Amino acid sequence: MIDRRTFLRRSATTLAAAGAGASLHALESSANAVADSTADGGSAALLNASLTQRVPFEGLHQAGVATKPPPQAIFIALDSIADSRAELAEALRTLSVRARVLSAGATPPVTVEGITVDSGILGPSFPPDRLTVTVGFGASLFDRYGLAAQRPGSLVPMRTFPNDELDPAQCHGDVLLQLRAGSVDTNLHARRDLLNATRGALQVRWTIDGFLPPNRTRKGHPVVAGRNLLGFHDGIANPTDAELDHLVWAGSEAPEWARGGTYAVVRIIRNRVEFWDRVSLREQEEMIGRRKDTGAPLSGGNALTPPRYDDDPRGEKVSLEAHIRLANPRTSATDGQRILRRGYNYARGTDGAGQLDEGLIFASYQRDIHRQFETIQERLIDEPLVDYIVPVGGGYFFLPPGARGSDDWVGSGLFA
Amino acid sequence: MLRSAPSLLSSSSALATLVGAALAGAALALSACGGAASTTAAHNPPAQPLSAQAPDEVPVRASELKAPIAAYRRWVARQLGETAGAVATLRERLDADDVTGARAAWTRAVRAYAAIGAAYGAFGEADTQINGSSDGRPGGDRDPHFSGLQRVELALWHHASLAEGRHWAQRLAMNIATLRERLPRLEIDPAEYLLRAHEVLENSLSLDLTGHNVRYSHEAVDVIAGREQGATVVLGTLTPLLRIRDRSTELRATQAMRRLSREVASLRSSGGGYPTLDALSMRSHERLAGVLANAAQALAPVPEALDLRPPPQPRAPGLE
Repeated sequence: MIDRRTFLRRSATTLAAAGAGASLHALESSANAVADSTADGGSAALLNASLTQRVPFEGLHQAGVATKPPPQAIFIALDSIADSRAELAEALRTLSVRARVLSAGATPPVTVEGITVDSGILGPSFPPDRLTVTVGFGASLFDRYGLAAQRPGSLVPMRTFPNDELDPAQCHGDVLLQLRAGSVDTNLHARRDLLNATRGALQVRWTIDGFLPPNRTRKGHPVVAGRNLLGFHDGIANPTDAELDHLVWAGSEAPEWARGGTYAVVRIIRNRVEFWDRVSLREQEEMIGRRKDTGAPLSGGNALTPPRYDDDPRGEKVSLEAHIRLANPRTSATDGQRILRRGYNYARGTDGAGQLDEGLIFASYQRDIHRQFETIQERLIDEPLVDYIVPVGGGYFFLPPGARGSDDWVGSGLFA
Repeated sequence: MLRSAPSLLSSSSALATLVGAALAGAALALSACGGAASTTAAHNPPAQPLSAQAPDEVPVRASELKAPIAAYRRWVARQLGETAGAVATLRERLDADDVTGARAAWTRAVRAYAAIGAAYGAFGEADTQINGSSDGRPGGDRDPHFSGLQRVELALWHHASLAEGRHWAQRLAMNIATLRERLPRLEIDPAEYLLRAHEVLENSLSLDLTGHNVRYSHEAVDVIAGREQGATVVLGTLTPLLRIRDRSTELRATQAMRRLSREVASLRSSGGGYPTLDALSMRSHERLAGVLANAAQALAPVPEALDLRPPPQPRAPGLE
């Protein structure tokens, strides 16, 4: 169990703070690292000023859910191999400690001998670059460590829906890490750092990288969500900030430690892009229910115009089986089912037959997985679009509330 | 462009003569099915334009698809018979504790069934019972509702259990018999029939060639051979309708299917079987994937060329 001992020793040095010069955690062991980042942040002299933008780690809610999504994301599902609840808690605490440093920017100390303190892929110091690290727990974590009594009510293992082709190696996980940043390498740097820091306690189960398209809106046109790899605007109809307390954040229905958190549904949905490209525009638009060029619903208006179904009961404008109509029928009964979608596109090489492996990392946040996501998903079973979109992985996770201060860590309430 | 009623009427009488041509094409395709099924109505002389109006702007009437669908139904009946025969042999071999013989019979059955072209939920629940996968089932491959050819495959290869094989082969034989009995009354939607040829190939690309399908025995090339045969037959039934509407699509589709047939035939062993997917060289796998994808692409415009609905309004490019 050398790994575990190493891990514990590293954690101990983190706690001790002093004399940790050669330790992996030297850089975060004092408040200096954070102070560095605000004073110089490794960023004051950067030509590219956007790299200096910082999203606070602490807050009532975790960053990386309602905060404006930067263009790059990495999702990592981990399984815990910690031998005890205390070791698990220590690993989770370490995640927050590292996340705080990574999202603030820092200048890691230079060590010439021993394990490399920092991968160095961002240079001798790294700026914040809007990095957020969001931590979630899968249902299996609660069962594995005797925490079932504290499990938030609607957290269960992800269901298999009839049109799924799930690969077990890309499903579920005890812990979810969701990284978002302005650049790909900021995320890659954070991923290596977080995995190094928790080696021996958390083991990678699956991970996937995603991206958002840049804003391609033309002047004088409404700004709408970017396009997915089917070529359609995706995420047009999201709840407003004012609706999040009602639709996204866990409230009094949740155990006390969990209030202010939310439930995340992550689904890796492969798009059969070659097949899709062989389909006519007319057919594509009928399946989606929106125009491909403008994003406007087929019932008229522009992208931001709500689709009209009340005067189209037979689906002459927007087909009764159109994706947007099934997903959100826009009735008072389905209004409370709405979810916050923050999906990212992915492209990762080819499958075994030379077909491109591209698609959507669907990520939604809601207050109740069954009442919201699953109810919507049930309406989408066997929709015409299913021939072109194949869920292959993902999981359900609970994202605890944010860390309350510089000593707190995400998930601490679970172990209180 | 909305078509006026008079133009529809004037062309309909001319189109009526095509039903006969469609039947001829279908019959030709069927007669070729015993072998590689590679020659289709392409032997027929090209038809001349029938009226001043470009025929590709005339929506196909559902009635024009009656003959192709009837021909296809006969093909399905024949293939179901062949599947049933192979399943009978499979059960016999299982009863004789002959694993090798059972596996060979299973492979013949799955190839014969693939040639029906029951992709994308055609035949609904009946198809799921005969050839459904464990995908989308809560219990995965242990799910009690997972049955059919792929359940037998799991038993024969992955579990290597004859008893299990016997149990599921018996259920399979029953379900095939039920579908055979129901087939004459089974509704085949003309709009869906038009999609069949290329969707069968799409299934091969996404499921067979990746090893996702036929995942226990790896006999995916047999399935691809079956699907190629089915797609060739379906395309053959549609060729006469296609020829007068969209000659270039017809030529491209026919050529691409011939190339695919040749590629599949080149992989066939002297005994009539095919190598397993993992036995294909990288080059053979690449060639098969490329030729299949090319055929899928060439066949994709067929449904639109024979659309039952009037063509959509043209649209200016670059509108955002």
